[in-house]
Order: sequence, then C-alpha cells, then structure tokens
Amino acid sequence: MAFTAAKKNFETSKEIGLYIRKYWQDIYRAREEGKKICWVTGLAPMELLIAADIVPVLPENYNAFCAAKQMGPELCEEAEARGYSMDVCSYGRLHLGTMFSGKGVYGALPEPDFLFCTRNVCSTHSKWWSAAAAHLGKPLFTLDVPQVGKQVEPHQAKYFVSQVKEFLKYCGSVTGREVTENRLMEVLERSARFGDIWNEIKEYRKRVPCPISSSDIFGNMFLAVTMPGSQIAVDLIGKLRDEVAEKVKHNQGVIPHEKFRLMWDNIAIWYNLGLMNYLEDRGAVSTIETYTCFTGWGERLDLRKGPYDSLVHKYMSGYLNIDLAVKIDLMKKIVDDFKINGVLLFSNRSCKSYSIGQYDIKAALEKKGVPSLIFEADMVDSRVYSEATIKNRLDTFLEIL
Amino acid sequence: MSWTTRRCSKSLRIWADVVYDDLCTGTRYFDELVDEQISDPMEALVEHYVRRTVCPCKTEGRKRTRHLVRLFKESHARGIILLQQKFCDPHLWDHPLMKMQMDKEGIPLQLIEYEQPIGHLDVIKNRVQSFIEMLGG
Repeated sequence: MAFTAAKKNFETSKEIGLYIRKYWQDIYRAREEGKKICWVTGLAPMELLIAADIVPVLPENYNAFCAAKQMGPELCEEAEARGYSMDVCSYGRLHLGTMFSGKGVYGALPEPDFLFCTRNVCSTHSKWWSAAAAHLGKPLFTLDVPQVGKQVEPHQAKYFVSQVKEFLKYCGSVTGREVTENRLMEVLERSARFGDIWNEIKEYRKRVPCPISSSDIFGNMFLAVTMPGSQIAVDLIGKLRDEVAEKVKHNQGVIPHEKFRLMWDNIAIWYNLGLMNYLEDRGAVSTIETYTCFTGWGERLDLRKGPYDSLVHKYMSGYLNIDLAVKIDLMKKIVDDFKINGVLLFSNRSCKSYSIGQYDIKAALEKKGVPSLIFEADMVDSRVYSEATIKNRLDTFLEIL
Repeated sequence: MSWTTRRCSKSLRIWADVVYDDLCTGTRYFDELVDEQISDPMEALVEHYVRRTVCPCKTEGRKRTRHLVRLFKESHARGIILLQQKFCDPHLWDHPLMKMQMDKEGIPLQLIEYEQPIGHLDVIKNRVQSFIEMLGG
C-alpha cells in the first residue's frame, strides 16, 4: 500500500511544518530548563496550563505525528503486547506503546509531573489517562464536563467554571507560583486573537472556489490544538490568513476546476493525508472539516464574559460534546454555509464517540438532498485501512455526484 | 441478570458455583447500604451514589481492582471470571493493570470475551472449564 503525505499548497504551511520541529525540541528541553510538564488530552483548556507556565504535552498530537511517519502499527503493537486490546482507541494504544517501548519519531514523550484530562470528548480519555497515570505513578487531575444540548445551561457552566478555578489553584501548587487573573487574561487575549483569525480563514473557505482545503488545514490545525494563547501561533496563523486572502483576491481555488465541494467528518487519516490530493485530482475539494473547525479548537473567546466564563463556550459546546439532534442541525447548517455537494463520513474504528450517530446524520442529510458516504478505517492504525475498498468507494461516490 | 450471564452461569454450575458477582446489572445494586447516620436523606443518597464502585466507565481502574480484591476475599472465592462484552472499552482499558495487580495478589483472573448475540456457547464453556481445571476443580 502506498501511503502518502498531503501536498501542501501554502508557503505558511511549510513554515508551520518547520516550526513543529522546534516545538518538539522545546518540549524535550523543558525538563532541563526546570519547567513542569503536563500530559494533556485534546480539547482540554490549554490556556490554563500556558498561563501557569507549565509545558503542555499532547500525546494525541504526537500520535498523529508518529502515524504520519508510518509508525502507527508498530507502536500500537507495543501496547497490545502488554494486554491492551485492539478494540480500544488506537491513539491510546499508540501513546502507551511509545511509553512502554521508548520508540516514536523522537522516542517516548518526556515524563510528566502530572496528567490533566477533560471529559468533553469521550470516556476513553479518562480511562486512558488513568491507565497512563497508574503506570507512571503520577497524579491525575480530571475536569468533568457534562454533555450539553442546544445551549450550555447555567448550572453546567457553573460546574465547569468551579473546576477551572480549582485546576488553576492546583497548577499554582505544582509550580509554587499563583496564576493571577491578569496573567490568565494575557494568555486568553492571544487565544482570542488566534480564534478570530482561524475563523476568518474558515469564512474564506465558504468561497467558491475554495481557497484552502483539508490538505493544508489538517496539518495547520497543529497551532489551534497545541498552542492557543501563544504569540507564535497568532503570528503564524496571521501569515496563513494573509496568504489565503491573497488567493481569494485573485479568485484562486485549491484546484483550477472545482467540480465538487466535500465535507470531511471525523479525525484525519494521519498516515494517508495524501487521500485529500487523490480527491483533488478528481475535481473534488475537501472544503471543510467538523474536526478542525467545530470541535472547539480555534473557537472564538468572548472575553467580555470574564476569564473563566469565556472558556465555557469553547470547551463545552464543541461538536463532540453536544446532543445528536444539535449535531444534526449543525451539520445541515455547515452543508448550506459551505455549499457542500457531498459529505464524507469517515467511520473511525477508534473514535466511537465521533462515529456514533453517523447513520442518523446520513439519513438527515439524505432528506435534505445531500449525498454522503460512510467508509471505515482508523486514524493511526493503518492495519485496518483497506486501500482498494476505500478508493473504490470514493470513486463510486464521486461518480454519483 | 442478562440472558447471556444467565446462560453462562447455568453452564458454569456444572463445575463450580458462582458465589458473588459484580455485574453491571447485578448484586452491585443492593450490596451497599445508604448511610442513615447522615441526617439529610438527599445528602445520604448522593453520598451513596458518589462513593459506590460501579462500572469502569465511571470508576477509576485501581479503585475497582481494590473493590474486586475485597469482594474476592470476603466471598472466599477461588478465581474471578471477567466477562467482557465486546466493545465495552472501559473494561478493556482497566484489564491489563487489573490483571497485573491480581497476579501480584495471587488471584486467578480469567478474561472471557463474548459478543451479542453470543453464538456458540461451547467456546465459552471450554474456556471456563479449562480455567476451573487450572484452579484444581
């Protein structure tokens, strides 16, 4: 099977790619510099750790990186050899695999001083984090987030905010320095600026032809995931926005003749992002993703609400923490806003919380006259990826369109 | 008790007695009492539900392992069978560390995975029989 990386269309994407190396070097140097390290789940409020001067390390991000370098199966097997079933999330397996074996693009991740987990994505996070904490014998802080409906109820927001405050106190006890409200506001302002720019790019993607597709965005989301609240993220995303704006000014699309606009649902298939180029070669552009733009990453912050409450919307009402009915409404809106011709519903073996409900979404979209395709694979474990089946299905889908 | 569990324990009876269970819908529901010393009944109920050791989805793995070790000792059992319903991931996440701890404590633990519908019961019977033979039964 020939897995390929995505061809990037933007200079800034290449710059971000280079920056990622420096980011990892800094992480591996953090311990020497006397900094505290925390292993954190995706979609946990990173701003809190950055404000506390604790280095957040995201195993999920490292997993994607290792998978893109075709190390997924080997690392998953390291965890399977220690009893972790092939049925559990491959992100979890891959991460524990790096921890047990010391293998990975840069080896195992630096050991944390403590672990931080939120429950706004899945129940797997809390099981995986508690297993990692138990193996290492390190403390774990869990921030519980209730699932929300059309809007976050006041009592839910209160529950979330009380835990955020408790967590900041905990961070202060780890570093020995209190996290002041001023310091937090400073970080949040940068995160808000990042969110505004990320949303500007998202708005540009509504244009026909689409100026920037999943081929670039899946890689560039690194900034939204790992470092909201840092100046470098604001600078880099600003550059990308300028480049996208330039394309829009000249009415330049990702491909010369955009025939179909597609939406991608679920996590990226990290070991084969070249699939996006495969679609583009056939006149189809993956215009928007639920993963990069609706789960909470790069979300706007309303700082008028104050530092704590500004986090409520971003970290509570993301795509993975809302009721199915609200999800379906959101999907229909995205299809309209981004003028989508077809939806790719990637049923991810590993991410049950993301994949459950896709048949209901498919039915709702069908009622609306929007065709969709469900296909099964895994985000990092390429052993369950069937190249011929998937390409066959994609080809047929494009023919129907 | 679910249909599967009923069928499993029925076949188990040939070789052994199931002296205690910690099934998701089993003894767990009534084996711990609400603390009546707490004056506010609502508080007492909340305390009861928060402190209980329940399904792995809502309980930290090490806490549940300690709970199972206690149940094992109190019920004078000789082995534990962990029935794993396929795709119930929280159980699968807990299992490797639980197995490690049980090995340390010298408690025989056998994981048996099944699917719904259960298909061939003989496969499960076979594994149970070998486990019980290992226990010297």
